[in-house]
Amino acid sequence: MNAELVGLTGVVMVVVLLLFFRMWIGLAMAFVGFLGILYLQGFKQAFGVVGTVPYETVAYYPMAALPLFVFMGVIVGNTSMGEDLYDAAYKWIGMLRGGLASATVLACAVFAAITGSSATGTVLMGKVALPQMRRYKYDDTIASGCIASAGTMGILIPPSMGLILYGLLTEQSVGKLFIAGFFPGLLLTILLILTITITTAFRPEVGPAGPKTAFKVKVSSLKKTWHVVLLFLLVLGGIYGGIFTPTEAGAIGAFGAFVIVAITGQLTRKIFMDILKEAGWTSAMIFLIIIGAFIFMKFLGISKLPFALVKIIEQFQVSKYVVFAGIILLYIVLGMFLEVYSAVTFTIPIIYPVIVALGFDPIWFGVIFVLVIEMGLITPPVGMNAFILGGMTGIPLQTIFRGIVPFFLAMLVCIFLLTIFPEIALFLTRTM
Amino acid sequence: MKIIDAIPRIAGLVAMGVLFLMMSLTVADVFLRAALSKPIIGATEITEQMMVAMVFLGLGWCALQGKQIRVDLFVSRYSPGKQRVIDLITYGVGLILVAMMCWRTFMATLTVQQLGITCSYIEVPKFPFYALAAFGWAVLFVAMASLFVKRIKDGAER
Repeated sequence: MNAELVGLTGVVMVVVLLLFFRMWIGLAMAFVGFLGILYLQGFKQAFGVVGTVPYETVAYYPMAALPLFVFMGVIVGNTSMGEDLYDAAYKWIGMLRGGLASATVLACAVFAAITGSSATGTVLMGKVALPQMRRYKYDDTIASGCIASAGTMGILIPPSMGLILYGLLTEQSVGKLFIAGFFPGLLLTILLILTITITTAFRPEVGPAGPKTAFKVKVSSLKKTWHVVLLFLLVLGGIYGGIFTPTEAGAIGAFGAFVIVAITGQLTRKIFMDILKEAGWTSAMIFLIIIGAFIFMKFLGISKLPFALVKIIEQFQVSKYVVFAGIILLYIVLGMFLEVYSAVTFTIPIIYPVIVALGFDPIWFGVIFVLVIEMGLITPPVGMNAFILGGMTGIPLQTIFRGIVPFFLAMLVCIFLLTIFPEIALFLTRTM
Repeated sequence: MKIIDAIPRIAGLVAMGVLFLMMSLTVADVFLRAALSKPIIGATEITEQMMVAMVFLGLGWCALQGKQIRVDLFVSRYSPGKQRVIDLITYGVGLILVAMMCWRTFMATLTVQQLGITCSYIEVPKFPFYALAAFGWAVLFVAMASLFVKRIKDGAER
């Protein structure tokens, strides 16, 4: 068997271990990576890799960005910042038709600017926004669809765990990826709100107008959002201004969130311990996957599979956009079965060399990639955000998935616009 | 079983303390650099070694909490007996893999010690941190062994 075929067999093996043996993703990749290197280069090499790669992967300074941003996200998730955000958005646009759903999207977008995960936003809005929408007779379809979809913005709008992971695996600047994610995040927010506006224009009964609020109340609602604005400016401003690195930004963000929690009187001993536990567990979970991914990447590198793939695609002599469309389609399908971290770590070693060989900008692709992964969070059968929302609210999954359809289409439009106008993502990075 | 589960939990608590210290060190470094132009010497390398402690010591507790990601799409549709067999096989494979990683990291520790490899700036020997990584794998092994035994008992109770 030639090396490339061994590489391909390895990829299939990981999929089989994941789907049919529900093996932990990190261990599945490490196991197949070890077996592959053993087959191709023998015991000495394979033992060498499993003995040194885990340490070398973890003891690499830029990796520290991951646990620190996780830490920041967990702290923010344990405060009332998200509720205050929703309250402000609700008071400003809640009186419009579909306004409560639009307020949810807006709050999710701003909340995403201080957290890096999609689950946090979904859980929060499931708790805060859904009861309000139900109170004003919103249809469960649009209410749940908008929460599950808007929640995904957590991994696109910086600080984003998806972009950090992509940057670490491809050796691209996490700082540039963060800055590149800003305007696409804004674009997606507008598209999701537009989707709600169009839906409620045709079917007003699914999203009736909420209560009117006096201008004074609107202005005073903004007072409670100062900490969110401050955290966002602190983290992104620091990176954009070159004051600190993305890794340091994680620590500054976590520290800033801690200070805010402390001075607003929300920090108890129990909350402090809960925050530390959750951040520690999440970090350990992500790092086992990353260790597995790096062992698997070594194997794929030795097998030369990614290069063989590039050669095959070059032989077809089709437009690079056809290949790109194929990759997007592949990710939409993969996203139906894998969750974010698995999809990122498992596919990037194979797909990234193809993207670079086709001449696409790696920073731009990082943003597109995270967007497509976001779509995986809301598509059946494994739509994580839909599962989370269904689990906590009791709304049937089919209702949520039905509600997601228009928002899914909006995400496709976002990808289309970013493909035609890549500058939406890139122009800010050029000013760095 | 409670005593065995305590090992990953204690290691995990240490890992969480390290995470907090890591944040504090970085913030102090940024502040001292920005405000006084006096950064903490070797902060980057210290952070790298703290990462080793935080990640590897946290693996076991994370596993015990059931936080590791697995795709439960098809297996959850199998009969309980079949699911148990599959879980035991994957835990078994995982145990062998983790034991091997622990052993190889320990061997790497000895090599690093013999070669006298140190952190380039702060000149602290690297082998204790390799040893910590090996210990982390051992803790994960203990946690997985505990899960393995619990899964066997699950089936026996049925």
